This record gives sequence, structure tokens and C-alpha cells, in this order.
Amino acid sequence: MLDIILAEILVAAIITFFVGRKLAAIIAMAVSILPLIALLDWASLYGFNIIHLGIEKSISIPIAGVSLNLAITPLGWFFALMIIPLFPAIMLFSYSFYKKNDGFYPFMLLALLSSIGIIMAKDMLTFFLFWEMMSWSSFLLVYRSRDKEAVMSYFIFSSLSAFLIFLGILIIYQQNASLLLSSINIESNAYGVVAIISLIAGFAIKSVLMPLHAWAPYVYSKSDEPFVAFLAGGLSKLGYYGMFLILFILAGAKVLETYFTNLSPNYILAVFGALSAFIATLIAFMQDDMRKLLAYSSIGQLGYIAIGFGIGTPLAVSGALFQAFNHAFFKAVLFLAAGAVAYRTGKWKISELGGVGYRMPFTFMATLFAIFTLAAIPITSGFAAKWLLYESAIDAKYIFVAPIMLIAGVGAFLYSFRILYGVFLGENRYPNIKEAPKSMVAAMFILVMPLLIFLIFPGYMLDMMHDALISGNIATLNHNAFVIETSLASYNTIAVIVALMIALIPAILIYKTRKHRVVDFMDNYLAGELPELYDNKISMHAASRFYKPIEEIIGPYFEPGTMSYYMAIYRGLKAISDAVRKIYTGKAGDYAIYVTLFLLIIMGWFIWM
Amino acid sequence: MHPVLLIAIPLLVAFIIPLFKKYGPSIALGALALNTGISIALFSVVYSTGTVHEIIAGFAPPIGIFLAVDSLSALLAMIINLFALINFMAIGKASEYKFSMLYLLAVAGSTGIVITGDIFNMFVFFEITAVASYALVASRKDKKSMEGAIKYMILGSLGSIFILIGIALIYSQLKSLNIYDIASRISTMDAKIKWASVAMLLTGIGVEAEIFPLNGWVPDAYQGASGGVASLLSFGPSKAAIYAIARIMLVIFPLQKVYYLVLTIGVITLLIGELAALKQENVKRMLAYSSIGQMGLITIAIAMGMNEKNAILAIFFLMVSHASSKASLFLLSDSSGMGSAATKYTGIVSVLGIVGMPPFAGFWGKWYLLMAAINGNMLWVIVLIFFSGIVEAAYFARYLHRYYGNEESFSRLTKYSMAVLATMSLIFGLLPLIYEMGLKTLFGMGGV
Amino acid sequence: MIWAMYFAVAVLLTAGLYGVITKKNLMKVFISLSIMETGVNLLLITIGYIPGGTAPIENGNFAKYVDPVPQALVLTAIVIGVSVTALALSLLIMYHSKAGTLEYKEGMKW
Repeated sequence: MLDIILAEILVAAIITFFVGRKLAAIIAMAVSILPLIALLDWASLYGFNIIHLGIEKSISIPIAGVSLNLAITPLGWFFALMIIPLFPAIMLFSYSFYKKNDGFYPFMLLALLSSIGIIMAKDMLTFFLFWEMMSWSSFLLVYRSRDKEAVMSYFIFSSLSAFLIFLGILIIYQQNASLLLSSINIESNAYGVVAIISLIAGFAIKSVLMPLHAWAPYVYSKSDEPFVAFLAGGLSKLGYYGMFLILFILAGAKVLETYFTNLSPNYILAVFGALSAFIATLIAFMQDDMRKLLAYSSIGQLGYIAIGFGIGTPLAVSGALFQAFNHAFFKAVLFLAAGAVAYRTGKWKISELGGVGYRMPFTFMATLFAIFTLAAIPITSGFAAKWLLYESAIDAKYIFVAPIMLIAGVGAFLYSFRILYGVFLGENRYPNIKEAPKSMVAAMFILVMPLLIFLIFPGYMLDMMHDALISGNIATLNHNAFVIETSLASYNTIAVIVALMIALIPAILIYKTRKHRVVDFMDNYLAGELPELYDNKISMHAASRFYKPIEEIIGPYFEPGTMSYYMAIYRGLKAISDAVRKIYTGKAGDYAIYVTLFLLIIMGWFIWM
Repeated sequence: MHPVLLIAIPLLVAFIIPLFKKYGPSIALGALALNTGISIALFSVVYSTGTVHEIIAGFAPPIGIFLAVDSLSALLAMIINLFALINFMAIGKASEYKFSMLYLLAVAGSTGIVITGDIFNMFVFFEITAVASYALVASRKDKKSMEGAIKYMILGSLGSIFILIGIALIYSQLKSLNIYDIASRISTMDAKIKWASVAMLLTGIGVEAEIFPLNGWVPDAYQGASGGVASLLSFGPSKAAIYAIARIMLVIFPLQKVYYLVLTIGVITLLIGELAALKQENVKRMLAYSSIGQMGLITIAIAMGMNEKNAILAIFFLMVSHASSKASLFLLSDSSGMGSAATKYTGIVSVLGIVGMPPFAGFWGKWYLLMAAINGNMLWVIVLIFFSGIVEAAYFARYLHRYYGNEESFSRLTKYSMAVLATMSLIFGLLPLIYEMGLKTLFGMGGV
Repeated sequence: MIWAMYFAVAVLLTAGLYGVITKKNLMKVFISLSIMETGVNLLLITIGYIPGGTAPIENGNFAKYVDPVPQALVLTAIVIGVSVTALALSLLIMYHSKAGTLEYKEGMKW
């Protein structure tokens, strides 16, 4: 079945290159149905009695004289569960999003194909081959933006990531003389540690862990939203797939612990994750571009997964995987919503938007739910995931990580609130727009569904990751559909709902009993102080520089930004390049000297050696 | 199929062409097509039976001249002829009979270098290729192409003088010109003369093979040449020359002393080429520097091929990858844009191929090369290759960004030929042909 | 005798190389290259030379003759040298008509 799926996607990628946009969207959607069915089929491998079409555990594809080995592993299945379902929904969205077929569908299908390849890879060669394929197919999708920073930073960072991973694979190969994941045993010596660190750094680039995130704000904010939804939702998880593979399945975490006896390198990963969550949240405050805000939000939310992997306890890893799953769906919804808003209004800047929600109520609803999940509002599945993560940090006594996570969590609500208010509510600036096309709305609601399911039954999520955790030698938490038992404080859906009700009822009562009046947008809430932007008719409300005081305090610390350091390296390289090319003076006489010197030097070499 | 036909046909046709001025290009095209057919047939023979040795003029080796077609030379002969055919289709319309004649000579010479088993014949074919290439570079007839051709000529002549000295030194000791005969008796040579001859041969061939610091002519000649000629140079003479280095180093002098030398040269060439390309604004010049870098990579593979079977696979893949991608990029560089679907495809596929993305041939080249490097425990080489790879990614990203979507003015045939040329890298990256051919030469390049 | 010839070879090669490196005039550069070529041809002849040997022609007296192979090589090398020189001269003529001079100063670089 796996081979049929891969072949079918490949054929579809070629066909969609030539057909019109609507047919292409339908074909792309149709071919992603089979992997979805297969997901359910494979579910029966792990004790879920859903359907049974004839499971096969592994296949091999011959290519260039070697064979690529693929198998359905528990971990691969779990990650497939969060990547593959995004695809048909995004295709549905793109059905009315694009005006012509100019290379979106074939490369999306290739990206899907290679993602499946990555998570089903049974050996390192297959993994790396599909990883590179994923890199270039997504590069070509980024390329459609024609934005210089986005294109160049993505290509360069992708290469860097590929080379770091390659280095790790090479060292592992040297130690084991085998590339099969099942027979790999990383040795606990300097080389092994270099391999693990370089692999994790390579994966961190794809999963935008600070400070290797520099490409993400450019790429996320300049590329097409349907693609970014897949990139942020799906492809960024592949980096964490790789990290899980290295840290737990190949026992890299243990290798690191035994090698560094005094300091815990896992702690460092958790700290990077926490800083990522914290700093990205602060930067997200200051963004005016909706997509840039979402980009930094992605960086922050993905940081939580790194925290979970860093802590490494069953509680933490369960929370991290839960968070990964949630993030795949809510971030896809948010980017798609940004796309839908831009589709109708043509604007991305929060300061130029406002009141869109009155005309696009369904888009607003989907966004609202996604933001609740993102900001971990109680009873959403996002809350459940972060509950596990907070608790694990407290349990593991990570006194630096835990408070930072908490602050970042509150911050997440503060910046996502700006999308709710600045884009969808507030001044009704677009009274004449229509709701997004039906296919777009449908796509967003499809993506919200899983979040709803796990809102009610968070325990099912733990069922699904059960085998994956076992394969990584991590114990699973006791749970049933509604309750996740932990050592400090169990998560109980019913209890959370009850608590929420208790808190909500007074709030609703207060809201209902107060009198409301509709104020003009430029009402005197400014207390007599005219904002400097007033003349330009740019209103100063939640949409525009709502957190101006915070910005003024924290803003200077984020100048000049991570990218400028990378740019400095790039400029340095260019200076070296300039020096190097001066060797080629253009004078034949000089070249003749080089030839003579070369001859003398190698003769000298032979005599000397 | 007698392999000598591969050399005889283009040579003969090249000298007939002036008689039929107007039909010259068509005749040349026919000859190239015929040659391609023969080279494919030869490839299939070598593929099924292994190395082919053919005696010419009735004298048995080591006295007589003979052709030795091992798996790498069969592959390269096929690549050179096939790509020459496609490339000629891309530029054919604009060319006149003199151009066609020179083109055929260059192809015949490159093929000859690859399939000959005689060291002096190799020199003669080098000269045929070189003289034709000088004239081809100058064929654009403007000041820049003249300048490029003259620099190429000065260094090329200097190189051929050193090759001849090297041959003379070997002959003075062993009284033989047959590569395998020399290889079997190399240990009987006087040490000093042996090292002097290695140095001379490496220097001489290195000029054509674009290794640092003998490659001063490369940027100027490529910049001066028209796209089609630059493309021919990148898959013809330079590949033949690097093959000659492979043959000489791996067959005649597979010695540890040579190993480190060639490895160092390769690494330096790689770094210098890639770094110099980064700041280059002129496309052809940038591609020329990039070629230098790629040649460095192949040189590294050759050095490692002395000890490591993976590296020999890498030589195969890297050569095919570079020939295909760089040839199409050079063709593309004639016009400053990729406007139509075919040229966009060519640009993207070539760039992906050259930076070594799967499933293009370049990926396997890098994969096997680095596997060989890690088996040889050479982390520093790996790190430097990665570094140069990132530099390469940087300037190719910039290249794509700058030229993608601009207006262009290629004829339909040119565009499709380019696209086919670029696709070759993909085809050879998917088919098991190269891998199986590579396995056949695992022990000893010559297979004698 | 043989040592004198080797010495001559060394002188010709060094002189030619010196010319290639130092001369700015392209014509002089190619003349220098021709000198080097002559040096190599002389080297080949010297290698095949046997003191007191006769020409390798079958005439009954076949006891001691010089090696014929280097002579064949030299013939080929001379032919090649002539063709390269011819091409070089024609290129120089065209270069002169474009640039107006044979002195090479500045051109493509870096």
C-alpha cells in the first residue's frame, strides 16, 4: 500500500504540472485521500480497530542501484497522523485560492511525498534522500514568492540543515557500518556526541528553533498561505520527528547524558526551546504583518516541543507530542485564515484591517477556535498539552524553564488577541466584502475538527502516541478518554470544564448586566492625547501598536535581529570571495608563474615526502 | 562495433565538411548521431562483458597502439557524444560549417582521450581537442573571446609541453607508451625520474582539467566563449582531461604519496572555485568558477578512489551530474533570463542537479564521495565539502533569483535541447546504470 | 655529447618559460612557447639517441640503431606544433584587428 501511495502521489505530481488549476486541485485532493485511508489502516497495527485493508510493514524502492527501505513505524505513523490530514484540507482551500496553476500543486505533492518518505524511512539514506527532496520541493514553493530574502535564506539554511544532518549520518555510519535505523547504536564518544549535536542542529533549522530560525519570518511572511500552512503545520514537525528519532529511538539522549557527566545537554535543549518560546512571543507583540506575527508565533509554539524533548520525562514528551499535533492543526488554520482574509481584502497588515469578522463570520469562528487552542485557553486541547508540559517542567525542577514557559504562554494570548481584535473585530473597515469561498471555509473547519475531538477526549491522543513512546523507550501515562493521570495533578477534562463554567458564569452575568454603548472609533479613550499617526487616519487601537509601551521597552533589545548576524557572516564570506578571486589576475604571465610554481611545489612534495 | 569508429567518423567527417559548405552543419549532426549510436552500443558491450581492448593496425601491445575501453571510459564516451549531439542541436542552427568542423574535432579528440590506451596517443588527442577548443572559444570573434582564446592557448600549449616532457621521461626509462605496460613496470623506474614524470603529467593535464592553480584560463575562456562552446568545454575536453588524470593516477601511479597530493589539490581547487564564484556578477564567469569547484570535487573523488570503492562510484556520478547540469546552465547563460516553461525547467533542474539534490546524479556523487571520506576518516575534507556546498547554494540561489522569469530569446529547438540536457542528470540519477558500471571497476580502474 | 644535449634542452625550456612569464607582447609569448616546444623535441630525440647508432633503416647492417619511436613522436609533435603556431598567429591577427595592439595590458580579470 505504501508503494502505491508513493507512486500515486508521484504520478499526480507530474499530471498536475500540465492540467488546469481546478483539475489540479481536485487531483491533488483525491490522491491525498488514499494516504488518509492508509493512516486508518495502519492504525490497526497499533491496536485501533478501524479498518483493515491489508497492512504491509515495509517496502523497498530500487533507485540508482540501491534500494530505499520504508516501513510503517509507530513514530512514523503518529507523525503521519499530523502531517497527512493537513494536505487534503489545504488542497481544498487552494481550490478557490489560486487563479492559475503555476507550479503550486506539483511541488506540494512532491513535498507530501517526501514527508511520507521521511517519516517512513527505515534507513538513514532513505531518510536523507527524502529530506533533501522535501527541502528542494519546498524551496521551489518558497521560490514562488520571488522575494529575495525569503528565497536566499531558505535555500542557504536548507543546505546548512542538510549538511549538518549529513555529517551526523556519516559519523553514525562510520561507527556502525550500517545505515539501518534498527541496527544503529550511537557510541558514547566525542564523535558520537558531535553526530547527535549536528543532527539536532540540522533538525532545529527546519523546526525553527532559535537561534536557527532566522529564515522563518521571511519565508512564512512572503510565501503563499496554503503552502505556509503546510510548511508551518506539517513540514516543521519533520524536524521534531528527526529529533525524537535521534534522542529517544536511537537513544541519543542517553549518550549525551553519559558523555557529559556534569552538565545535562538535554537541559540545554530545553533552555533553547524556552528561550525560543519566550523571545519569539515578545517579538510577535511587535509585528504588524499578520503573517509575520504568525511566523513568530510558530517559532514560539514549536519551542515548547523542544522543551518537552529536552526534559525527556514521559510527561514532557507526551506533552510535546500533543503540542506538536495541536500546533499542526491550529497553525494551519491560522495561516489559511490569513490567506482567506487576504483573499478578500488584499491586506495583511493588522493596522490596515479591521472588522473583517462581521462579514466573514465562519472564518472568524475557525480562527477564534484556533487561537483559543494556540493560547491554551482552558478546555482546549492546547491547554491539555501545555498542562502536561508545565507540569513536567515543575516536576523535573527546571526552575529556569518553567516560569519562562508560563510567561510565554500568557504572551501567546496577548499577541493572538491582536489578530482577533485587530483583524476580525473593531472598526468595520470592509463593509462590502463577502465571506470567504465555501471551499476555504470548509477547509478551515475540517482542520478544526481534530482539535475539537481532542478537546473532549485528550486521552485518545495518548492512546495514539502510545506505541511511538514505547518505541522510544518512554513510559506512557495512565489515562482514560477524559483523564490523564500525572504525579502532581492529573488532567481531567470534566474538572476543567466545570472549573471553566464556574469562572465563566459570573463573567457572563457581569457582561449581561452592564450597559453598553457603541463608541466611535476615535472616541476620547485617548484621553486628550492625539496619537502621532492620527493625521494619517491610522487608528491607534488594538490593531495598531497596541503594545506600544512594551515595544518601547523591549524593542531595542531585539535590534538588530538574528538575521543581521547571519548577514554579517555572509558579508564576511563575500569579502573572502573577493580576495580569493583576485588570484585570477587576468594576465597570462601570472598564470604561467602559477603553473611553474605548481610544478616546482609538487616536485618538492615528492622529494620531501 | 569497433571503438575506433568513435574517433574515425568525426575526424573524417570534419575534413569532408569544407567540401559541402552549406550542408556542413547537417552532415555534422548526422555524424554526431551516428557516433552517439556507436557509443551507446559500445557502452552496452562494456556493460555486459567488461573492459574492451581493441588493437589498431595489427601490432599487438605493448608495441602497437591500442584502445582500452573500461567502464568509466565507455560511460564518458557515451556522455560526451550524446551530450555533444544534444548540444549541437541546441546551437546548430546558428553555426556555420567551420564551426561544425571544429566542433567535430573537439568531440573526436575528447572521445579519443577517453578511450585510448596509449599515452602518446592521449597527448595527440589532447592537442586535437585543444586546438579545436581554442578556435571554438574564439569563434564569437569579438575582443573578449579572442582574449579568452589566447590565454587558453598560452596555458594549453604550456600544459602540452609538460605532458610531452612527462611522456618523454617515462619513455626514456621504460621504452613503452602503453598505459598498462607502464603501470605493470612502474616500480622498476628510477625514483627521481618517476616523480618528475608524475609531476609533469599532472601539471600538463591539470591545465586542461581545470585544477588549481593551473586554471587561470578557465574564467576568461568561458566568459569569452558563446554558451554552446562553453557547454561543450564543460562536458567534453574538461571531463576527458579529468578522466585522463583519473586514468594516470589510478592506473599508473596509485601510490600513497600521490594520494595526499591529489587530495590536497582537489580540496584547494574546490574551495577556491566556489569562493571565487560567490562574488561574481557575470553569469558565465560565475559558472566557470563553479566548474572549477566541481572539478575539485571530482579530483577529490579521484584521490580517494585509490583506496576506496565508494569514491569510484562518486567519480562516475559527479562527472555525469556536472556534465549535464553545467552544460545546460552554460547554454542558458546566452540569454539573461528564464522566461518560458522550458527554460524555467532547465534552470531549476540544472541548479538542483548541480547542488546535489536527490534524485539527481549529483546527490549520489556527493553521497558516495562523503561515504568514502568518512571511511577514510577524513572529517576535515567532509567539513570543507559542506562549507563549499553552502557557498554554492548561496550563489546559485542568487543566480536563480536574478534570472528566473526574465525575458529570453531562445529558439524552440534550443529550449527543448537544453531541457533534455538538464534532464540527463535526473535520468542517470534514477537508473541503476552508473551504479552497476561503477561496481564493475571497483578494483583497479583499468580492469586489466 | 648527450649531456650537452640535455643541457641544451634545459636552456631552451627555461628560456622559453622565462619568455612566457615575462613578455607582455603576445607575439613574443608565442615565440617563447615555440622555443619550449623545440626544447621538448630535442629532449625526445636525445632520449632515443644511442651514441654511434645508425638510422633505424633495414639495410642488412642492423647491429646498433637509434630508437625509432621517439623520432616518430617528434614528427607528430612537430606537426602539432606547426598547427598550434598557425592557429596562434591567426588568432593574434584577429586580436590585433580588434585591440589595435599586441601588447597585453588589461582585460578580463577576477
